[in-house]
Amino acid sequence: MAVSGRRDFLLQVGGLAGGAAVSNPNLRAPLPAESTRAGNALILREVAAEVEGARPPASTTTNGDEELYPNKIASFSKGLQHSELGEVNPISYQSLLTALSTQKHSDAENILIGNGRKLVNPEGAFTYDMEGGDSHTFTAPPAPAFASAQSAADMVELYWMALARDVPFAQWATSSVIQNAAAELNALAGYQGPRDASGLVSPASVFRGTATGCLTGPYLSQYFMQTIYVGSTPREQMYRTGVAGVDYLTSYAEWLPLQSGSLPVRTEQFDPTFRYIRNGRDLAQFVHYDYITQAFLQAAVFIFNAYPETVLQYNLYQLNHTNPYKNSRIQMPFGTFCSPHLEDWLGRAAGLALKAAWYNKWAVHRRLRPEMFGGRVYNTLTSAANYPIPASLLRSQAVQAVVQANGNALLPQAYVEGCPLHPSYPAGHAAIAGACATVMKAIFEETDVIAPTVNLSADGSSLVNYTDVALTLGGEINKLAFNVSLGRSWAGVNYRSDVIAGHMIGEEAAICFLQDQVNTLTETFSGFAFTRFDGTPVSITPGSGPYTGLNTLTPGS
Amino acid sequence: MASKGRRDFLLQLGGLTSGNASRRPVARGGNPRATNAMLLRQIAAVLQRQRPPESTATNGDEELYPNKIASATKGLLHSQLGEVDLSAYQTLLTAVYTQQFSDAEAIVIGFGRKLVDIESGFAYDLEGGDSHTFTALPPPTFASAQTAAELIELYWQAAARDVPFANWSTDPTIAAAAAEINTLAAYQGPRDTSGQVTAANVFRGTAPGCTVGPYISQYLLQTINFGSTPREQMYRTGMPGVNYLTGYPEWLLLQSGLPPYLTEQFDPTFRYIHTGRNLAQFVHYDYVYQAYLQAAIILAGDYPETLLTSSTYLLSHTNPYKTSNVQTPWVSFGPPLIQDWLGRVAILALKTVWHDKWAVHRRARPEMFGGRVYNTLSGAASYPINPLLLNSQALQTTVPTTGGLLPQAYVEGCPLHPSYPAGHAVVAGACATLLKALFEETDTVSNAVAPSADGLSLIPYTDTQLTVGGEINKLAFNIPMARNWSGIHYRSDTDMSHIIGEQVTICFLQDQVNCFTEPFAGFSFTMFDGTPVSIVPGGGAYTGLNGLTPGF
Repeated sequence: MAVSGRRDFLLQVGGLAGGAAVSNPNLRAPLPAESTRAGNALILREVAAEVEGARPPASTTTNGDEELYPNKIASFSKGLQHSELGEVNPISYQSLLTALSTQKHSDAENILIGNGRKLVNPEGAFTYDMEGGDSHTFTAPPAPAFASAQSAADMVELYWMALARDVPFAQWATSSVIQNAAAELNALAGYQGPRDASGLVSPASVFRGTATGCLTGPYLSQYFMQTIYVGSTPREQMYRTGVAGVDYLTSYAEWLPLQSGSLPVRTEQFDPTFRYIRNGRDLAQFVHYDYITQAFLQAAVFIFNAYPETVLQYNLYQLNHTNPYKNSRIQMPFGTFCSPHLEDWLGRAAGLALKAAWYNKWAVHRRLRPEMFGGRVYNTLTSAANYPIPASLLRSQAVQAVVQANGNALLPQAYVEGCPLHPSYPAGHAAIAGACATVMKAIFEETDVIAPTVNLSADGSSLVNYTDVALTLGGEINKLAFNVSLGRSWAGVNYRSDVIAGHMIGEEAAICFLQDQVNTLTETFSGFAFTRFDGTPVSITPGSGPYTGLNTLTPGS
Repeated sequence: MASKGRRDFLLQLGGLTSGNASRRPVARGGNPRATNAMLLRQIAAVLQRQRPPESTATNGDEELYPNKIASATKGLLHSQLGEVDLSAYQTLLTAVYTQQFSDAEAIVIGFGRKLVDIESGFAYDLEGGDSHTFTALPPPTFASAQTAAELIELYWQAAARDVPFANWSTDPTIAAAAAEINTLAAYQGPRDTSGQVTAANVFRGTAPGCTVGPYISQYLLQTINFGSTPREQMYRTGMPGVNYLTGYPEWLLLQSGLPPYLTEQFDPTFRYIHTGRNLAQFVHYDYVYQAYLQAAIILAGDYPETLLTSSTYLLSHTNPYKTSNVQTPWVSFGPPLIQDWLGRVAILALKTVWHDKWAVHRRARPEMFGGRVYNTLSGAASYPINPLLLNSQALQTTVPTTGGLLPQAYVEGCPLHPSYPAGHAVVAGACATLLKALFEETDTVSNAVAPSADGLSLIPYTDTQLTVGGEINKLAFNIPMARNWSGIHYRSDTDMSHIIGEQVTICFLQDQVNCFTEPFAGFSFTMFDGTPVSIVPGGGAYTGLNGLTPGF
């Protein structure tokens, strides 16, 4: 088939020719006359761009809180100027809205910030890329409204997480804090977390994720515990963590200046001993400064290379059943279908997901952070203000316990600086987690059982064998995604609903990315097959369905 | 030029309209943003399409030697001389020629180890120059003086594997190596201002900064904050004095794809990279962009606490956030983008050299060359090995222990893909170029260190000032030269790969420079040969949407 004819065929299969071409004959670019590798490379990119260009724009429907509250009490404003109540200066807030509306760098540079800390990259919302769905085509549904039962449940969970930060995972079954947390969350209709088969929130399900595998086995994913050979060197997963009992932003005098962008005045305290991730505080600190794909790159390195000596035999058994090299006796995958490919794809999918999250954070939803919500609770309880906070939060056992511990209802933070200076919804870590976990499930075989499996010893100082139930690769990847995302909730900087929306966007961004990539490979290959967080099977097939390309064509023809 | 006028100009340049503004493409997503996003990609695709195909000229050795003594054959079946079974070799050539997966699966391999991903040289991608548009010039021929010089360097590196960098200035092996290499006109490594190879420049790289300061780049020495946790750069290394493939039976079996039967021995103590052997082990199982991700993490934040004030001082002077009082870079121009891009340029670079390795050059590894030397010295065969090598002191030093085989640092010897160009080196070229585009090359490195002779501590280094750009270049040579320290690559593999990797990243940046909406002067950095490069949005051969009103 000549290139131009083949291109028509591809567009047709992609649903882009026929009617579309007739109604808009200018849709297509001119083509090189010759039939070459270079022509293939061009067509692949042009078709992918057209196919992704057919994605409808994201819905920009919000929860309406920004319009509902003239004092912007439910909007993200950290880093701008605030009153003594922690309400944003309307002129300062308007300068942010103006910059987001005009999308001009000069307007962004004219945002009236507060005491010096800078906003995190509002213009990242407008960046383009060369592949995948455009960042403005990924919809985050409206965030729970400030006054909703779901926001209340989000906050009740965060207060409990703050209270339970130092309870070792190994002691959850018998911890009264954990039991009280589970009991109260169990009673909340707005709670979106997992429940057991009887519909109950229990110590075995509290603070966990909702995807397949999240309720199975230890709280922490195997990929956060097992020793990783980073290159030739084995590294135990012992990390720096905070000091037990030391939380931040626990007084109003500390909380208020930080809302207006002051630098923290306290010094963050760290445990001088590196430790396995034993509790919520340790997990929170892992996701404090982690590089974008760290948890997932570590997991990928671990899975590819249980230990370097095996590289000589090259463990292919954990590769996805669709991998064309899985059963090859002749070739080992490397630049395609193996570690360099995945290590690249993690960053790419994460980068695309993060751009989509940034668009939704800044340009659409602008949801306030839990830290600010805690200030609203504080001022309502002290009667300094009267905000529409549901009784299920205001009178919760969680808030009462925090007030009892700290003398006030601010949400105790694990990081000295509190939350970062970008809006809460959807969560960046969760978007990355959703994208990376999805790419990993496309590359590895989800159904494989992990062996051996480990758990932390009761005191968290060592690893012990874990044999209670079989853990699958897919389940532990899902668990890892929630560990990372909820790590930010353990820190007090993201709600569970931020996590859910972040996962959704990340998963979708990764799927679009894979839809482009599936056609760049020349091996005989049936496509990517994996399972979404919600259990839905996904199949991304080269040269068929809405996406198509060169895979099934003769290379170089 | 008004934005609309410029856009029409761009579309015309990209071949996307005939110059008639009414024939402007529209994305089916239906809004201006979607059209921008689509056109940006299509213009980039059309412009990258204009790259001419690569030259596939080779050094002619494959045709010259009917017994394929200069070709990569490890993993296929071999005779007692280590000469490939010609019918097996033909199955490889057929698969490479047809590019059919089924033909690759029909290659007749030897004792079981598999060939590494022939097919990846045929994969496409959605950005940058196509992998078949980057030329690897013909490598030095088997019989050439340059190949002889390369082998002499490798025999010396094997002999000097355990000499601590700290002791080089006084070590007799290093002195002898430098003295002999100095006499080789075909040697392509660095020389000092008097044209001499010395202990201060032997086994080093040729880019600016490579011969300044300690042998090892600061980015392989300084403590890295992986997330919240500081990690000292102490690594597992091989046991001193223990080399592999030093006996002919071991060597011969491994050429035909037998998995190694010796057990690799490791030093139980982790050490800073203090010897060639330690450096070789760092690149044994490293993940594709490990060294550069680590460097980027060091560069992006001295220690986590500084993130609160987001130290942007090491960012390139062209970064639009370098002097912003209002915004910190993150999704655009910040650390997530850097980590994303490292993987992207690495994979583009790998695909490119995998094509050159398998489909074009198929150069024999140094390990195989050592076997040719062995059989020539023993009189079992008579190969056209350059007398410079046969008469070298390097070889004489090695013959008593190996009979002329090149001692290997890895138990399995070299991997099962051809030598030229080098995978680690092309990734080094691509990633180092990216780092130079994103960080300020002229900045001075603070708190410079050098490893102690035992590799158990770091000693402050204050003799000369080290720059970010110089230490990135040094890193880009440390990593591929580490593969030479292990005995599996020639210097010319590195030199060619650096050029390719650099070009791959430049093409990648030509696409990406137009993806931003911030006002941005473009990427500006220095190539390995010292040439300044500037990649400007909306200008030069590549152009796009930057500078246009968003949503136009």
